[in-house]
Amino acid sequence: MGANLSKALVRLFGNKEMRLLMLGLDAAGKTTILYKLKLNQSVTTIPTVGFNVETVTYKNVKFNVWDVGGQDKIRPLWRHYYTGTQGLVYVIDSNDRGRIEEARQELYRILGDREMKDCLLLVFANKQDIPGAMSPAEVTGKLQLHEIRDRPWYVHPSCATTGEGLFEGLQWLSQTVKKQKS
Amino acid sequence: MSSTSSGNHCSFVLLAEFDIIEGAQLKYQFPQPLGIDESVLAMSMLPDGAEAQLDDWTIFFLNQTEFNTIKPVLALESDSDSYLEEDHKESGREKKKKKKELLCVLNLVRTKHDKTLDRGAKVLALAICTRHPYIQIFKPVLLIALDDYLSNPSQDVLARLFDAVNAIDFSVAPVLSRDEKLVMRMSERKDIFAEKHKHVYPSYTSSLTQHKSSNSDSSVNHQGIPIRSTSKEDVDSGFPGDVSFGSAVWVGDESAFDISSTTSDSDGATDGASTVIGSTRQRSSTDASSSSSSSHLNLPRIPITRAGSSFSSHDSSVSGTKVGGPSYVGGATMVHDTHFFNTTVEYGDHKLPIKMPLSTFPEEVGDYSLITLIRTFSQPTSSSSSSSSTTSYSSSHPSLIHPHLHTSGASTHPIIILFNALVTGKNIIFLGHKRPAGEVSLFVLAACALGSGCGAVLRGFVERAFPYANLNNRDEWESVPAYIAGVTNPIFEASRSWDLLCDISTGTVTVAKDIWAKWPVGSAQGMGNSAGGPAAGLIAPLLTRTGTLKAEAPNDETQKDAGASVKGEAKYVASDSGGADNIFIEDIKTAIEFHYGESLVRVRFMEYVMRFVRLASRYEEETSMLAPLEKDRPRTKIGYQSSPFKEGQAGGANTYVGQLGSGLVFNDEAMGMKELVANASRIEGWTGTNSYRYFVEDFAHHLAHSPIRNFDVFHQILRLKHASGARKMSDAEAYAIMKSLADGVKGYDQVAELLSYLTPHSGGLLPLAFGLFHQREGVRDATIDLFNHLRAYPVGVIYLQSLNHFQRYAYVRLAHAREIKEKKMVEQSQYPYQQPYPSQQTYAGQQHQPQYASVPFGRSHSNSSASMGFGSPLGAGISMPASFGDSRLNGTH
Repeated sequence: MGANLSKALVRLFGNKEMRLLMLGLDAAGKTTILYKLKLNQSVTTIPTVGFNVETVTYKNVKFNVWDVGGQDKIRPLWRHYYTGTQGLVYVIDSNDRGRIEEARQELYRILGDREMKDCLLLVFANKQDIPGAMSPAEVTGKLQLHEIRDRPWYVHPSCATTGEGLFEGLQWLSQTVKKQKS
Repeated sequence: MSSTSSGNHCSFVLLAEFDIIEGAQLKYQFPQPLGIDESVLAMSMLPDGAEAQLDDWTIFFLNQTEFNTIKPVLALESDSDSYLEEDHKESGREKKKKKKELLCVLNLVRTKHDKTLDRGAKVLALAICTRHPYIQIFKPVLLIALDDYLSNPSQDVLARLFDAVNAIDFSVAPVLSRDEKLVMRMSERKDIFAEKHKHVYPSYTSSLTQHKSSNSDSSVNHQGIPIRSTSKEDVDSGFPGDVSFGSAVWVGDESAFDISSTTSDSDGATDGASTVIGSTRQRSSTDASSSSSSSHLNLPRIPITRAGSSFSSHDSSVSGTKVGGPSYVGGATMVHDTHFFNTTVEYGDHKLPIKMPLSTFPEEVGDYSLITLIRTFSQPTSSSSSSSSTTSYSSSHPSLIHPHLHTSGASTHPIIILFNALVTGKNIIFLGHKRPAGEVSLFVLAACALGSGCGAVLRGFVERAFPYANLNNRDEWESVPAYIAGVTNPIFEASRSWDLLCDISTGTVTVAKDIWAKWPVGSAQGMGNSAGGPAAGLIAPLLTRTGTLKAEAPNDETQKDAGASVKGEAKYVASDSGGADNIFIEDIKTAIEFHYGESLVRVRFMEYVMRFVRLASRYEEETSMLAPLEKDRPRTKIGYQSSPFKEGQAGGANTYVGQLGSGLVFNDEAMGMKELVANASRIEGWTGTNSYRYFVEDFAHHLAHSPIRNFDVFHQILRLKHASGARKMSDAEAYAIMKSLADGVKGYDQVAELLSYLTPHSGGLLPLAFGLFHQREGVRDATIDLFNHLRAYPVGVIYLQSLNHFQRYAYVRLAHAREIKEKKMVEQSQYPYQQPYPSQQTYAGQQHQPQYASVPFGRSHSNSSASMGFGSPLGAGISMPASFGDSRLNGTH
């Protein structure tokens, strides 16, 4: 009976759980975002050797967020996390103009995987607090997101240390996934 | 061993660092590259979540399968590593030919927080690859070396570590045979095999040899001296044979008496002071200091004093032995446990102590803990009704009850499920999310020990174990059949490849949803097929039975959700098929609660696996019985044919009659068949696995090379332990058993093998000692022979000492009496025409003498009265100790 009820609720309010995969080049701010979302605290992070996974609840949606280390040599491991992912959160260091092209290539490699063909794309143009950071529009352009037609995508400016923009991103994800279902 | 004395402990040293831009990187390989994909090594060394631990250990193996096989540019495999040779002799005879031997990698990961660094921390890992399974001994040196590297990052550190480890000197470390290892691990005594530690106890060993060699002169020296004069001088003092017999056991017996009944002793110590016996007695009460200065003749006795005192204070063999301890060690000041070999490793200025365990089998790697494993998966939450979060299927769900795994239906204890999964070759994952990788590794290693009976029974577990496994090469290790992997990443929960997932955070054991699809029962490999159609006749009823269990069990489980675990178990203790396992686990849990140590738990599991193998052997016989039997082909390849003792044609009373039983013979056939039925499925599952195939080889090897030849020793011991009820032991069988043991167990290796079957915690020599009280003289004689053979070796002495007073006394007395008798025989033959009386006159004044004199003439029956018991061993059987007590009292007062 409990199970039936929760099924009904799911039908009414959409999927209450969402699996997110947060990727991006090293030092983009993924782990900081994750723990800002989870603890609402700015934590000092060190490079993630493997991964972190936390459940973040926002507006009745349970986000299961996987944050995977982004260093060059461990990027091949990303593919192991694709299965079942509903939303890709791609984090860009908006201050790192030198590696935006590298970030673009990695992004398209991920999106090209068969397992990821149905997932939403949220791009955080992170580190907006740094003067001279690329604007969301600039990031969009450099990532050539306008060429993406097969899936909903969204770029949002963020600042992981203050938390600005993070929940707006989640908001977009939960709404879009609901729309997709219906 | 000499070739291993130095060198070859460490084959490679590796250093990996997590580069903040590049990621996991293998930085150095010393002395040369391994030829393995560097990312494989780097990621194994830098486990998921390493940055969350300050220090973490991971363990992984090399040379298991293609992806982690070493292909060095220069072959530096040395074939003359005798440590390994030795291991290979016992366990891997053919392995060496086929594939390279397994290397253990012990890896230390450290996260060094440092604000001055670019991203606030540095994660690096230092590893050594060694062939020794007791890798834990290298932990201290690895810690020091990593410190060194952090303050001075260069490849020199690796070279230093490599040299330091290879310079460790194990050359004087005792090398134990398989049987000796078994004896050692079953014994809690810290002086077991002390004679093998030549470097520590030179005086002990030399005194032993002295003792042996000087036996004859000491008997000369002490001709006529009443060595046991303390309490029964009047009985013993006239017997010159005393001293030649006067070995450890003799005196040990004495000292035990000293402790238990000091008053009568001191009363009786009339004239002993001037003799050797004086010092013996003193020692047991007061003298730790004087004994070390006493003559070599005393030295062999010292361990006995220990035995005496440890006996009276139960099993605290060392703590309770203030008396014997110091004098025993003699010059060595350190309290030493002979289970370990103590040495040092020198790294730079540091001299680090190393305690190398001596009884480790190749299948038991690292400092695993069965107790932790059992505790973790015996929590109330770990009952089989728990479910995993992602699959949300409970393992007690009817469709998830699998006969290979759930040998007691739904209430099969998680540890038994794990054991069943291990022996039937299921894919197993240990998951510890947010746990240190080192912890997960230890669970995997403990599981290997669980499945293999601590390496003493089965093998083939470590070769498919991935104590720390990760995503990087998951395709490769997931394709290894029957893998046992430890992971920290919950992503594996969603994997389709495992059959059993053990979550160490929650203590739950989850069976894969598609277990039936992956392991359809009925298409059993091995036996079922090879035996052909008729075998199905037996298997079918077995399956129906498990089927019934399956149907019933879930009901119980669902009825009472919360209390289910406890009540379910209690119920299953009563139910017949799973009873044994659940009783066993309850027993182990109780033992753990009562703070019994890891070593006991290991021994118990070793016995459990032995029992399983013997059941499997019997099962094989039963099932192949139904198949048309080819001649000459034994019905089982993994054990002795089961057959009870067959009495032979009537011969003389003392001739060797009948054929010894062998294999697994149940006391109660009906109960036994039930047990077989309960085990049938997992046995079927086991027969298809590598560990089964290895065991076939090992058993063939055992048959061909075991020191005790041509009979199933373990069977005889079980008979002696459990011969009651319908299978009461006949005199003929008792005689046959004791006689074959006495004839078959003479040399040291044979003694070691025999003792390896006699676990101290279940009585040690006790079952054999009953032979001393048998009504037939032949049985008693054979027992004395056997014990005399045991007594020739220090380890045998230790076992004899652990018998209780009553039995030791019986032995000593019987042996003594027989010696007298033999002496008389000699005398008789020297003076063939003499009457017994002259010899009595020789010892005039000894009131008991006539009895001894009478012995050669076979008049013991008429002559021995109950109260004058010394002549009576030949006829009186069990009444003797009492009569002895009488004479003892007579002597003292």
